[in-house]
Amino acid sequence: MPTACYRQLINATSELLGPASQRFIDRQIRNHLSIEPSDLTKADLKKLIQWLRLSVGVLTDDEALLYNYDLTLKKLCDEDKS
Amino acid sequence: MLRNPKRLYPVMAALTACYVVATLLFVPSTSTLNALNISRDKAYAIIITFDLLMTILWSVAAYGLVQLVTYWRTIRHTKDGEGIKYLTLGLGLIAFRMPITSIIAAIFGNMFITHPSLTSTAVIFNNYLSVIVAVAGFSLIGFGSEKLVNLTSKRPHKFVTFGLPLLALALVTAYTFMAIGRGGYQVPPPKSRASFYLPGWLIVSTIIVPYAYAWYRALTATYNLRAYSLGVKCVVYRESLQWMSRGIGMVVVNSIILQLIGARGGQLNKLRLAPLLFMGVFLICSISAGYGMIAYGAKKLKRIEEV
Repeated sequence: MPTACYRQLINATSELLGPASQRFIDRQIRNHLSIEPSDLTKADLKKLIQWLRLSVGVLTDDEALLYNYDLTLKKLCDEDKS
Repeated sequence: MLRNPKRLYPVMAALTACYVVATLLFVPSTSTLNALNISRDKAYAIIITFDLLMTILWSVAAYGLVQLVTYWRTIRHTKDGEGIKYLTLGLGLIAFRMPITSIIAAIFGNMFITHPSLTSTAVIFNNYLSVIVAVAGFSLIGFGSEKLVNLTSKRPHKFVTFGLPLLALALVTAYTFMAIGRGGYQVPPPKSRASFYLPGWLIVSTIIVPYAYAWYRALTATYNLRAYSLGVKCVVYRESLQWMSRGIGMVVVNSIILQLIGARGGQLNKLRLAPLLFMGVFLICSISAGYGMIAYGAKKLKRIEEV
């Protein structure tokens, strides 16, 4: 069962990657956290978000896009803290 | 082709080599060159130029197909995978038809003075192969584009319902006029070859009508792909997809233009050489650009699936 933070991540990433966003997030989770996407917890979020920033940075050099995505991810992280 | 895309390279290389050898071995005879009013040196210069251009075109087409197939293999279990698969198959058919019909034309096309029966058989074969591939290829591309556009919430504009059939009808009317409206389609004119070597009713029922269907499917597919690429609400993915859809649009449109020109194939040698060469070079460059854009878009999309 996908967790709430997993769904939030996919929603945030679909602004950039659309149909490929879920596959992208699943790949980052499996490759960098060595867990299944359904096991993603809030504790894993901070580490994952660093990898997401790096990976999306490889796909586009649009600074405004990267900045907005970064803000969205930070917001997710901050929501978790609160 | 779908299991091991890199096999496309040696196949296309072999076809290209056959074409180059055929054009250099089967140079038109002196009587044919005299009929065309071209010197032997000029004929060789034209042949070598077009050999080079065709080699570039088919290399780019093979590269584009390999990139597209490789991308499809990455996403084949996803919702858009099936649509991309049919697009790839359709584009593959169109790409491989080009060298095959060119080889046949190179070997038999210039024998209309020395061996007219061989030329007529080759012309009939090439025309029907072109029709079959156009119907199959554009149907597959159309089917693939429908699968993709159905993934978005985009509904067809009124232009699609009314405008595209009218556009296809206009193209078919133009083709019909060029094919049978000016003679030279069944009986070859003096010092030339016929365009079809078939009676008018057979041309209409077995070539023109299928082309009407194929071109309608092709135009609809071009619209659907554009609608799909604009319908996905995501910047990075959409940018990559637009390259691919523009490339497919260019290949489709230029293929239709080539087929239109083919309707007067037998009498093209009556045109002056310079405009004929310019038209040939322009079309080859356009189709190459189309496959190049497909390759670029597919590579960018594949990167999204690999990072």
